[in-house]
Amino acid sequence: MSDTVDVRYSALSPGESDDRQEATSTPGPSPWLEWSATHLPVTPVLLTGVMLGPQGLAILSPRVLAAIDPALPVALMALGALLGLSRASRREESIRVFGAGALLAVLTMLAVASATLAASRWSGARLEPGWLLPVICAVWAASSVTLAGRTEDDPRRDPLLESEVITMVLMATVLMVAVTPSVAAALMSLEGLAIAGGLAGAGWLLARQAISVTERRVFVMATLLLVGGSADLVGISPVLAGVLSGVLWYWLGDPARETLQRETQYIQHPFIVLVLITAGAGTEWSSFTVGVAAASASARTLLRFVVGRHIRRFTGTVVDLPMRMLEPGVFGVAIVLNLARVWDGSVSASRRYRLSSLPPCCRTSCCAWSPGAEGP
Amino acid sequence: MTRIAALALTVLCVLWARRIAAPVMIRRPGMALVLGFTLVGAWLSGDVPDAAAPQLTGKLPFGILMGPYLGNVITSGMASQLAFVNGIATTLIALIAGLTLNVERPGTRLGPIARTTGWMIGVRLSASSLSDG
Repeated sequence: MSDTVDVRYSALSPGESDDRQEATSTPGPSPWLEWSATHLPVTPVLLTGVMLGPQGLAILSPRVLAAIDPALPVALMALGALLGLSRASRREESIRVFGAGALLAVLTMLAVASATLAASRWSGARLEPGWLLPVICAVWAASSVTLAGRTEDDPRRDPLLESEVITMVLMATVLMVAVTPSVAAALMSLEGLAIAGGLAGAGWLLARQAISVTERRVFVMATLLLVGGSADLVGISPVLAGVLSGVLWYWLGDPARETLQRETQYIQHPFIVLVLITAGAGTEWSSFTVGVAAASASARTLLRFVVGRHIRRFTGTVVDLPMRMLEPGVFGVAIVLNLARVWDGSVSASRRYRLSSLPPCCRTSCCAWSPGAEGP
Repeated sequence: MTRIAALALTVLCVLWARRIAAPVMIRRPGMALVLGFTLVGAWLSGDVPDAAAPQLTGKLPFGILMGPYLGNVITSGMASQLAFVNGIATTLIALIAGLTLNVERPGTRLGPIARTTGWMIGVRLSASSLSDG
């Protein structure tokens, strides 16, 4: 499985202590701590969440889920920040690669929308609420980032997939603005983004001044808490706030950017697990969600096989096209949770979303979301 | 100077977020936000330059300044969200203190220390039982 945030954590060398040292020191690579978000088995962790959730063993009861709920926006923000940093820090790529990525994302959304509507009409059930369809499409296009691929010059990166993520985030923003009920609410969202930017800027200043490892980690953790917490409080998308922060950090540059990226990567693994487990625990099974998920998954998989190959060839990426099927990416799941938070901030986590995954034996999984069926 | 600027920016942003989120703050008290703010504020306020005073001396006034009874940057509702941190922090401090305690180091002083501790606990328990009775 591959992801856009294909991070390489270069940890401090084993002998490095917590003594005061220059904040600008560049730690060397240490393979034993190198890992990638992409190496995380997404589906098994999701299924573990399902098993532990209220519909399974109920170890993660609604009360427990509500207790860990405040950590979720911070996790989503951290993922968004890494996304922003990884998008911004890669090598310059051509416009046509970005265009191709955007085209693939749009085609994915169109195919998923058609299949989902057809499945909905065939089953006789209506897709309620009205914005559920765009959300499903957005999630599917976002989960496209899990498709494996390599560039010729850098086997660890696939710029096409990164373009798709950025396109998706932009589309999610447009979607968010489109469904914003009033001008005042839109202004509030913009204010929220400004606050996130201000806090990210403060975090950058602090990271720039940090003079010890402990201090760096405290500042970065505090920055993630501040930006994620403010996004949650104001009611804007934590992922969007994270992407904004990541891009801002990249733009500000300085060794502080590396500090922020490295320390965020350092703590991202537990965050990703938290996101997946929470998403899995919120899974509810129904014939409708499974049907819609199956239709959208089939459409998307077919499209990726047919169109993806040509687009990748056009952009010069080496196609390692997957006889393996596509799993829901971390970002697909993260965006589901993110949208759930944005649209229904007052409901506890366990009741915010429906997330359905088809069994792994199908070699494909998908996400479908229908919030608010239970109401707040 | 940069640290002060960062802290000032953080305070401004927190106040701004509080202002626009005021209607929903009862439902969403913003625990992550207040925890992050406390972390930054406590860390920076303890680091008073050229001051011979212990770090605690800087943290306490900062808490008073930002707390609900003076600056009100952290409201009483937000402060109550930090209650769970108290428990975790106390547990960690006690645990780490226990972990770092070397029983061989006091040597011959261990006996008097144990006796004094025993007397103190005994007196305390006796006083408690007398007052209850």
